[in-house]
Amino acid sequence: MNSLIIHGLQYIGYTIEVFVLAALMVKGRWRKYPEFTLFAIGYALIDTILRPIILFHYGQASLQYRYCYWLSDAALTLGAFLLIAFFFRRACAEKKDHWPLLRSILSSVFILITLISIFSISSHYHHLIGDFVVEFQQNLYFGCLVLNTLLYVMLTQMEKVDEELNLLVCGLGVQFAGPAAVMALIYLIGIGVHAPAFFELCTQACTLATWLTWLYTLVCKRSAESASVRERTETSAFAKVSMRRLSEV
Amino acid sequence: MVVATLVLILSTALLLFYLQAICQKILQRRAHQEFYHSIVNANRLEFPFVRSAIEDYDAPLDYSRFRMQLKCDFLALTYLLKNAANSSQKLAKDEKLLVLYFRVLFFFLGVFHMAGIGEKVFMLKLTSILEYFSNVLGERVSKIRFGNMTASEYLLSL
Repeated sequence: MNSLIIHGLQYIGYTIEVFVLAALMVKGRWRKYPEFTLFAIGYALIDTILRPIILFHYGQASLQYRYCYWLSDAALTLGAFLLIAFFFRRACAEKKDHWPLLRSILSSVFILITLISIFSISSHYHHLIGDFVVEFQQNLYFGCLVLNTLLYVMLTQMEKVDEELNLLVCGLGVQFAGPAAVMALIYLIGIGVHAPAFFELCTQACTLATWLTWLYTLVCKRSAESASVRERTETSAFAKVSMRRLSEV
Repeated sequence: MVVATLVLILSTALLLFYLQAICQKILQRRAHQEFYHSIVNANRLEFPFVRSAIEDYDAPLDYSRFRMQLKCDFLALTYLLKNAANSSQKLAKDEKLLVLYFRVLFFFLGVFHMAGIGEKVFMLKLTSILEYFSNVLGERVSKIRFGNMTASEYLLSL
């Protein structure tokens, strides 16, 4: 039953990822968010192509699949860190004098985190799976979550609120907060028999929530805008017809 | 151990915060629309009175009455959202999310009432969800009217 739910969430997630990419590509939305588009493409390629290929060849319990999963997860988290840094740049568009300082801080933190990640993974490479990777990813996720929350707070303080960016950042927050909490829980209670299934269930649910939020941001807000434009057109057409009828009377 | 506990508490809190923020952003999308007046009048909904009683008068809350009024409005609006001018007879995904958000807030309203704190904030949030539903419904009904026959066209055809 559990695996059925997990697989269901996984396939719905793949579909939503394809929809988000289509929403970015079809109406040229990628021009507004090129960094987000790159991240979404990278994420979708890893999630829908690379991982399933390794899974198909080696099986879920294999060491190869676990290595592929955790290493790609670390790479995606670092990619998400970069995405947040770019979102910071976007948020600083109004106050350009803040950006040089912020850029140097973000670059230093990113280089530091990347070096620490590479060093930690390479030193534990032969016994990566287990407590180490859970603790490592938990810290990496939490670091990104803190940074994302700082960005969210900064966005709410801005005079001109960018609702789309706000929603994209909220989606990223869900993506980091859920797995970080689950990994911390697993680390505290120990990796038991049900821990992998529980982790997978929560991660899939959070990923789905994130991509649904992004899809809503890209599609529903836009359709609401176009609907209101259409409505205004219809209303003005109705007004013209009414005026003509009145003049005829 | 301490770090993991800290991460667990903060991450869970931030997860709930972000989910709540997403719901609030969806609500803000229709915050400035005025479609809801016609729906409120036609169906004698009471949430605007609950909101004005909380916002305009600093009187003590009539908790049980307000709670019942909000609950009745919620039931009426979710029924109308499913069945009025809706060929699929299903709620949209954002509406489902807001229904869930309403239920969670409604549950916590009861909890916070027992603790005796923060009821007004919860009630205002509940009214904003109901306003959103009314706006969706009002917009849908207005579109149907434009699509088939306007009020003036109907009168002219009599």
